[in-house]
Amino acid sequence: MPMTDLLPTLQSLPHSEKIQVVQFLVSQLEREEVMELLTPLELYPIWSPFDAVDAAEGLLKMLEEVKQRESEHG
Amino acid sequence: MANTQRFAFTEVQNHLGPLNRMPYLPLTLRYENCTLTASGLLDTGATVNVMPYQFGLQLGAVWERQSVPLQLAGNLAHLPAYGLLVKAQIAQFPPVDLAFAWTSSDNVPLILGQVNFFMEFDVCFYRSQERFEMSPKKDCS
Repeated sequence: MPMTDLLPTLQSLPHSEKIQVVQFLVSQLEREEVMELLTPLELYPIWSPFDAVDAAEGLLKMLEEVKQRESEHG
Repeated sequence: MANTQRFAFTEVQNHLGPLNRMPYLPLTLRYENCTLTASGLLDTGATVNVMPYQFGLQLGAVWERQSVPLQLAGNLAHLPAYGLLVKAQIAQFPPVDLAFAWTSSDNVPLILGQVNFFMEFDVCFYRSQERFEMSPKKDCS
């Protein structure tokens, strides 16, 4: 539908429905901006080892042992 | 930040357009008598540093001789990993010990995470300018 046909219809809407139209268009525009960056059903691998608490404790213990050995041989 | 070094984001080969620039840091890793120059992905959401399998081999580490088993999380949770301590040289900063979770996967980048990369270095990200700045941690002693 061309803009020239649509505008009179929009103009005739009650105030509250005009606001709803604006909100609808804003959310559509936001969605389109996101879709330019991200494609639906596309694979985006996340490699972060998130919440690997046990691994972190293991590595910190390793670092501490090395520091202790170095200070003993100081 | 004092003693600061600036790095540009690195363009990576993917189809993501504006998202194809990531904060990779060039560094030299040293393990016993072997040296490896690589780029590590700065990942503040990673609990630990992660080293791909082949990188450990190139540094001369022997998988069967490792003695610190680790349990990783996320996509790497189902794969074995061991703790590996290496010396890292970054820009003109003094070398630091970095502890890595050496994973049996090669389908992962070299990841620099909270333990212990971000414990050794302070980093500011300026994503809109596609750069980051870093400096060694301040010695509070």
